[in-house]
Amino acid sequence: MKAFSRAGDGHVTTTLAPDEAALLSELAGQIADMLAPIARKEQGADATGGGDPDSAALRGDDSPDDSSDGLPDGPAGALGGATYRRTRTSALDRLLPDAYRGDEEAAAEFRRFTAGDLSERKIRNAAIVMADLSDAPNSPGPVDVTLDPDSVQAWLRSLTDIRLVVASRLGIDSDDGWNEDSDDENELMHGELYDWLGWIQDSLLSAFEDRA
Amino acid sequence: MPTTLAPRTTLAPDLDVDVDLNAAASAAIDSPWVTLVWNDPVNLMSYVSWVFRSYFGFSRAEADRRMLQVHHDGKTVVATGSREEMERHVEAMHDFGLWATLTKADA
Repeated sequence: MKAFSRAGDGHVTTTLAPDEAALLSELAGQIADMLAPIARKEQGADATGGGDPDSAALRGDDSPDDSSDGLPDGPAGALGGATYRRTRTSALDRLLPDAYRGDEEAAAEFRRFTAGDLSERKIRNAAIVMADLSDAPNSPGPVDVTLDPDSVQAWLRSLTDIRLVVASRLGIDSDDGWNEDSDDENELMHGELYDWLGWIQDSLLSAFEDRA
Repeated sequence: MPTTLAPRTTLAPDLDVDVDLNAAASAAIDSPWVTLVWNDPVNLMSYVSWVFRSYFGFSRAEADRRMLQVHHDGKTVVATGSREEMERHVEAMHDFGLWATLTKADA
């Protein structure tokens, strides 16, 4: 993948390998899938409960879908699967964090009124990423992607959401980052994925702000 | 940087320093709520600074100063005003994927 560059009129552009585009699209789709149960809940219904929706992937429970995709570093399960290190914050808590500290009642109330809307917006952002990458499956070679300013906004947010969830799986809860000394190849692979996503986001932001 | 967060009672010392910057813009003296953004180990410094500029309209210098305060001190105050306003800001920060809370300024 090339770094993003400015393309005029606030647009930015890059070129991805087909499997990179497929991976990004898949990850965005997983974010949307995670949040769908919350977005579906009617406002006013109990949309909280500390991350109880039927989202095993979110909480890092074992998900048996690791064979559903042919990619070597396949996105399947990239956001699910077991966590490598325990953290005190679940992926869902990172996507929809408490708005009040030390006041569970107020936090639950805030969540009840905002979690549905926030989830819908995050799902919409993910859908924009997937739409921008929709040509990838049919592409015989590198995939050119040009994003308008609205898409950039969606991409920056969705990349953040994806990184938050990958970080949660990697057990990143300090500025030390992920465990680069791990013997677990999957953990190393996810660590590299995490770094790659950060690189993409920084590249996108640089181009968007014309600092590139 | 702590992800284990300090109890609210320990926030008061910082607030005296930070609140006044935004107070003039958005808050009456009797509006005792603040929006805090907390350090997290995931979000890029460039991204946090951009969020502060694009949402709150901070200058780059001001956004960078507050971003570095988050990074080094674990948190910063980004807005002061009514509870309703602060809830809107917190929701917006969560939309960006930042770790934000609101609290009473004198808590």
